[in-house]
Amino acid sequence: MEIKVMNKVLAANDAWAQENRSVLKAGNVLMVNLIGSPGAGKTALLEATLDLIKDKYKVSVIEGDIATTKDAERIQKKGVAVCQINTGTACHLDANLVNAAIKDLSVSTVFDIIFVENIGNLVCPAEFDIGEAAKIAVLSVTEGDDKIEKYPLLFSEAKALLITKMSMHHLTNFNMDEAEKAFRKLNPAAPIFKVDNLKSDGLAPWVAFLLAMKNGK
Amino acid sequence: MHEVSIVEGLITQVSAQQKERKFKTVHEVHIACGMYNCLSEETLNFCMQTVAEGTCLAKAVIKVRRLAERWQCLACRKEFFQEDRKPLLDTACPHCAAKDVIPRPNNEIYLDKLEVD
Repeated sequence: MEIKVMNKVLAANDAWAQENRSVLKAGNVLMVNLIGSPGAGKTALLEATLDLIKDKYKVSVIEGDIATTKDAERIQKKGVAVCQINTGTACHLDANLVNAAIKDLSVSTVFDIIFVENIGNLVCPAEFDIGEAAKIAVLSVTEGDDKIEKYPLLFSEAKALLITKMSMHHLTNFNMDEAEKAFRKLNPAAPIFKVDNLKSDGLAPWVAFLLAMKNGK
Repeated sequence: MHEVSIVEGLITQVSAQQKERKFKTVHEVHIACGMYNCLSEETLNFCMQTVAEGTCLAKAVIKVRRLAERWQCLACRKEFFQEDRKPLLDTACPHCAAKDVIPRPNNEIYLDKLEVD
């Protein structure tokens, strides 16, 4: 016997994501979800971004890793609240894990901005809504311009693309025109920010974009 | 292996259906998803064998169907569908041949239908 269903498979995750969205909206908190490969420079980007905004905004970070607290320790040195999620084997953060982290962080402080550094992976994190206001794609020049077309889900869903490690661009065969053309095809509206996360170069437009999202502009 | 989470979602959905419709065994689980969803049928079936043990899905086979990809032409504004995924920059509008076309993907994963006894 055949039964037609047509329900969303990730309905349970989506319900948690919706719960997160409601809680964050009620507190006027912006949550962004940074997604990129291992080594793309997500933590370095966060460190540099925190330096520019932490004195004016209450900021916290949810760090997703399979194992270790290495990234959380780096973020903690910046003097901001951080919550580590170790998934053990899972390759992505899902919305109920993030819900627990938001509750944990929000016990004593109401934050303006929560950054989620998802597990380094271009595939799995893109499939899961965690209740974020924006998925932000992080791609380094050392990975190659072809990654945009190879992993289209993330790049089609991202609200912005950060191309990192720009000071190494001349050492690589990363074709910026091809990367921009492929990204524009998938995502005509999202801005592209070219940054050098280790030197804090080019971060101002990214930070302005972030704060415009925070202020609902 | 995000497929484990997908299979867990499937088990939750199918268990709810089982309570309502009172079937005993699921033979086939049909999933429909967008062109860009990274779902491997082989990996899903491998995960199912492990995660669904002891449930009505223990012997079920998962089949994945890709939904046709929706595109829009920015020149003539018409929409069109592509059944097979082509390289991004090779897609042209079937109505006016313009290359100025953008995908409008549906990235949801659906439990489409079940074959049960």
